[in-house]
Amino acid sequence: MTSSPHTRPSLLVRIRDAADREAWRQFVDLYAPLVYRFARRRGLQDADAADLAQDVLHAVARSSERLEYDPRKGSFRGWLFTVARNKLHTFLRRRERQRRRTEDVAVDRLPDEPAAPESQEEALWEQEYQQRLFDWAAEQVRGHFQDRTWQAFWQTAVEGRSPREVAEALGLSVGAVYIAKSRVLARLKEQVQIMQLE
Amino acid sequence: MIRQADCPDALRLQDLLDGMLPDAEQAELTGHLDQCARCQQQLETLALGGQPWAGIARLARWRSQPEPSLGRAIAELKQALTGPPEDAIAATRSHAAAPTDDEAGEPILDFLSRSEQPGHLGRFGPYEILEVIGHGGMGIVLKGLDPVLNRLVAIKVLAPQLAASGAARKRFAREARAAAAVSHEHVVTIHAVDVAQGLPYLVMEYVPGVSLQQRLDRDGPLELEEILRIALQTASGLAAAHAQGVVHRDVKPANILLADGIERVKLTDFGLARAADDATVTQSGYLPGTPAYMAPEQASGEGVDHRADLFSLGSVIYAMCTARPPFCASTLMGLLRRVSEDRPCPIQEINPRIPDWLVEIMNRLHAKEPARRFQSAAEVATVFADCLAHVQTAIGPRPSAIGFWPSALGPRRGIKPKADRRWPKAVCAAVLFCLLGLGISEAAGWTGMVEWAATVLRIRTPDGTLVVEVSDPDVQVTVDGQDVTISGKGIAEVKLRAGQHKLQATKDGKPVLTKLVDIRRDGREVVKVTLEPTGAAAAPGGSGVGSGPVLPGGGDTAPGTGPLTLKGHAGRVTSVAFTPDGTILASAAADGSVRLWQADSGKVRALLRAMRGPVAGIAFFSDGKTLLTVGEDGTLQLWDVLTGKQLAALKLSASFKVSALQPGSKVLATGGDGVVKLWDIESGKELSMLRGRAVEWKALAFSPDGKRLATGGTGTARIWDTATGKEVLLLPADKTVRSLAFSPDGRLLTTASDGVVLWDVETGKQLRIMQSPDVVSLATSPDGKLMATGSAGGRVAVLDTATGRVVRSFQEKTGPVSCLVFSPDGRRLAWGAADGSVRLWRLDGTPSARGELERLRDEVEASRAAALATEKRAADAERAARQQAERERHALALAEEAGQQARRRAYLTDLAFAQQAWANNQRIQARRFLEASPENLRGWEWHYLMRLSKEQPVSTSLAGHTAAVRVVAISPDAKRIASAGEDTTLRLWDVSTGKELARLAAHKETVHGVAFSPDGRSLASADIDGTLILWDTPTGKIKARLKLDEAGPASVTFSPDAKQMAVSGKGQVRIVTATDLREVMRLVGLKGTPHGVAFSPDGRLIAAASGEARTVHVWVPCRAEPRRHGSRLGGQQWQGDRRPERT
Repeated sequence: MTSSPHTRPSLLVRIRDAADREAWRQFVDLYAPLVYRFARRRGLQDADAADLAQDVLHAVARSSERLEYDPRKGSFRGWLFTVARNKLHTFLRRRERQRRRTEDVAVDRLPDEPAAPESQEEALWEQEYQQRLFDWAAEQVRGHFQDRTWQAFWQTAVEGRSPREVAEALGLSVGAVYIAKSRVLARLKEQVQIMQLE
Repeated sequence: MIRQADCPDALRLQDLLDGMLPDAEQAELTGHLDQCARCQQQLETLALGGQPWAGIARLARWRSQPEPSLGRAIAELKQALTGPPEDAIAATRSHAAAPTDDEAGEPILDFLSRSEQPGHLGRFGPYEILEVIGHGGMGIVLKGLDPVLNRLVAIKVLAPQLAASGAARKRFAREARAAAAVSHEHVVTIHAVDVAQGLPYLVMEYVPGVSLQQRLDRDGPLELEEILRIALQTASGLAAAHAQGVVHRDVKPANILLADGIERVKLTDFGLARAADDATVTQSGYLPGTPAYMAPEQASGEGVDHRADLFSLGSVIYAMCTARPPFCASTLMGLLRRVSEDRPCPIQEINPRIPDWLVEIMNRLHAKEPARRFQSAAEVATVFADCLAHVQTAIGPRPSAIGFWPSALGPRRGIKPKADRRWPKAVCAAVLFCLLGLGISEAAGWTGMVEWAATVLRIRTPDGTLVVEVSDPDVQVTVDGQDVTISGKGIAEVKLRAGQHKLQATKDGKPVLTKLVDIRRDGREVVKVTLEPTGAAAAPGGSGVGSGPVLPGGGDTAPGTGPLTLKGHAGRVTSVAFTPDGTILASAAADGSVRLWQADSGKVRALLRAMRGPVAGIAFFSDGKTLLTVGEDGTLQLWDVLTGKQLAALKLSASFKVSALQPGSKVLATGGDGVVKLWDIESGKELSMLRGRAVEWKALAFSPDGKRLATGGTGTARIWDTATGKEVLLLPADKTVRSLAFSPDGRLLTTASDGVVLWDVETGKQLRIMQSPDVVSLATSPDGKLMATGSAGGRVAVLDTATGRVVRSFQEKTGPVSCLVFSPDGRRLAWGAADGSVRLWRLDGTPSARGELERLRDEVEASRAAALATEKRAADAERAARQQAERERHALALAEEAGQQARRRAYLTDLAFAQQAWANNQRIQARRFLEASPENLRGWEWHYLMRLSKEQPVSTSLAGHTAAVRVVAISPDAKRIASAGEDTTLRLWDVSTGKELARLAAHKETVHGVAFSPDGRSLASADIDGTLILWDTPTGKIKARLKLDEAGPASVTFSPDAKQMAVSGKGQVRIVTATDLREVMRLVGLKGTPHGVAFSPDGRLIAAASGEARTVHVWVPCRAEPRRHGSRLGGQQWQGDRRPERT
């Protein structure tokens, strides 16, 4: 986690102001899918994963006033990971108890994916965070560009197709594809940095 | 082939990236990019800010999985955390089926199960849910139907989003328990507490109606009687809660429900209430309550008790009087500061109709110190009950012509005579209530006259009120065969249930009235028992307040006949006054005696041995029970009219001839040789002296609103502003003005000197002059239509005010008529004469000339309008002049700006020279250029200098301290440096010369903190013993000093607005005022011994370093609207935050 810029507490200072609606919306948009994804990967059903995401973010919201996370021990999302993992364990334990009570084990039990070792799990979380952040930034940015510009960027930068090929497909010159790609890249990078460094 | 030389430079590529290039140029560059791989690469590098972005393809793999429930989860989260989106709020507001309160959006109702009843929202537990009443901080309030008992209930369900949280459940349970423990008619009843579908909920009594907040929003300020009623009921509801140890903590108009139809208040939402001994929860920093209404101790996060609710009740009363909360500010911080420090805008500036006494009660509730408030809600309820009784029964004063305005006095409460400098406490309360009566009469106006018989029985029930008026104290009243005790005259109250009751009045064992009365819900029945003195007849009334009163008549002076003569006084009669109900006439004389007479029969009621010397004046308070007598030697006495006993006495340190009591206050005006003085009759203190030239004042009169005082004396009459003590009008008179009288509306003043003159009080214009040369006393009738004059020859004339025509007159050889007064109903005239006789004359049938009077008023109005027009022209001219001046100022400012620019240019020139000199290695010369420049060295110039020299800045050592130097500060103008440390001295140094300017030795211990105020004029220092000293920088004098309770390294800093300072002591930071070091707030929760403290530049953040605890403590004001987010997210003013110390 050392290679990526640490989440600076300033966004977290912002969300401690419960009236800063914009900060809270960004916060939810960014982190809820991350927790959801994490829960799904650990074998939770869709609705359960959504509930867990809610639960975790509520916990964060409640403790945001005290800001229990400690930047000395890592970034905010590292702390979020810990909260999510704990909540998940609680959930799994409760479910396990219920199953034992109802003795209805065989009917709908799906085999949980075996949990990855802790360090791998955290690395996966970090990777998904970066993905989520990129996805979120792309959502924010995409509306600012014409579809052709966006496609020029996406097909070259993401899909890895050659600019010439893409230029032909989109009816652009190669130079125009480079310009389009660079403009979107600049904007995306800026957006990611805003979220990370704001 | 692309040549490298054709490649654009980085700046042009950046412009291309930013879309800053003209189309043609962009096209050209695009063409170049088609070919040039180097530029393609460089463009991408530029876009990424020089750092490659590897693995984008990997990053973009997020969107690959279905997430059906995630959208819902996110939407719910956003709503829970940030409230509904703005457009949803708008939609909700126009949604008639689900009324919600202002802050609420569309609540999520998916926890309801389907109802079989069409039109119902659903079912919850056993209840049919009909609609959403509202939703707020903790949950949703639903209107439900209890199918078992078939009654409507309000169901408060903990928000589903919160039901998972243990803390929220606990608080909810606590709320339910606290509220359920209180059972009172003015507290919403809790029927049940339960859990359904995993959600805790409580079932409450359903109260149809609106909240006080909605009512205020809709109707604005309330009427006095309603204010008192709501205040009384709220206070009694609070008293019940407090008796259970429950403090509401959030008393505000939104939590006071006004039930439809019945006049009953219900206090609800003990959402933040908790048992009073559970105050520790608050200590942790959570800030419950609504800041606009909360008590200062709540605002500052200190522990609160039931008296915090009393402060909030004061705030609610303020809101009822003005339709706005007492404290407003744009930020929560500002609001909290205002709650703690400010007084709200005076009520009467917003609503002048609110009487002084209510303002006084509000102020007492609003005392910043809990100990100075009323001490219990029960006490407050009693006060308001008394007030309400008065408003509903008492009548106000009417102006009498000379000397005194009678006013109302409140209920007596076992007042014992006591010759103290101050009135006994009970009398102070009585005076308060005397003001009460005045306020009411002002509100009612002068026209809505109400006559009450001597005894008023109020038979009050929760369902209705029965009012019985009895004119004869010997009449015995029974209700349903039970005696209702009437002890003398006064107000009695009887409790009755709704239904039919038999009321019987008997006198000497014989029934004089039997009546069946219906007590209805919310009804009011008035039964009037009026006995003729013959004792034979009875006349049931059956009408309400304000109906035409029947004056008890009988062996009275018949209309058209001469007056009754009342004898007894041995000296000149100096003052006569009627009780407000007109039943008793009082007269006072130069022999020191005061006599009370039956106004109808002229029989003597009592003889008060008042004074040794002459009595200067008398006045009744408005319930007619208490009489004030004023002696020429300065003695003031209060008398019980009923028993004739003296209640209290006080001596003013003055002697005088005439006096007048200001309506609506405790102020007495006295006049004699040369001066008029105003006194506070409660304390006996002189308030002010109205300076006139050496005039012997013969007459004083207050205007009915008390704002003006008219004085008459040798050759002049003057009108003064009582508030400022300034003379506002001088009315010329040829001879001595012997008597004065204001019209009941206060617009006209009549003076008697050589003739009787009617003046316009505003303009000083003479409206009418009536030639009657020897008039010595004057009176205006309560309706203003008639005027009475008494002459030196003993003649009394009644004139039509409008025409000046004499309509009645009477003459007898009594010597000068010294005083005159109309009865409050205007049907009698009483006067006293120099021979000691008092006359009582019935005036019924006296014609009046209404049309003529109105014509006169029109005349006055027309002249006013003309005056206004003139004023407007003057104002226009003034505005033009102001605009001209503004233009000139603007021109001046421009010139100044130009001058500054010139100076700046000169300075830059100097800098250029300096740069040149540096380049030539002529440092001294460069320095001279810089020092010669108009400004002193500031930060950027230093920087510039350093860049020029490419060297370390020159350093100078300031030597002088004898032990370790710990702290240093530079004054904002950069001219001085302050330093301090272990040698306990504080030293001031001159920056440019390095000279020690001052050595300030007042600390006894190591100085650990030092700070200049933002204007540099003050310097603060703090030592480790906890002593804080504020110095005057220029003189080195100590301006203020504060010793903290705790020792420890103390640090200090000024707030950016220079108004406050933060001082850290052991375990806490205090905010103190920067002028007198008065403590404003304490920020607690600091661990360890703090070393440094700092404000953010906007003053909103405070940080303190905790030393050994290795933490930095930050207090952040949260802008959250606490009612919405507070309970959920802990929207609080200050929050503790631990972060690592940066090393």
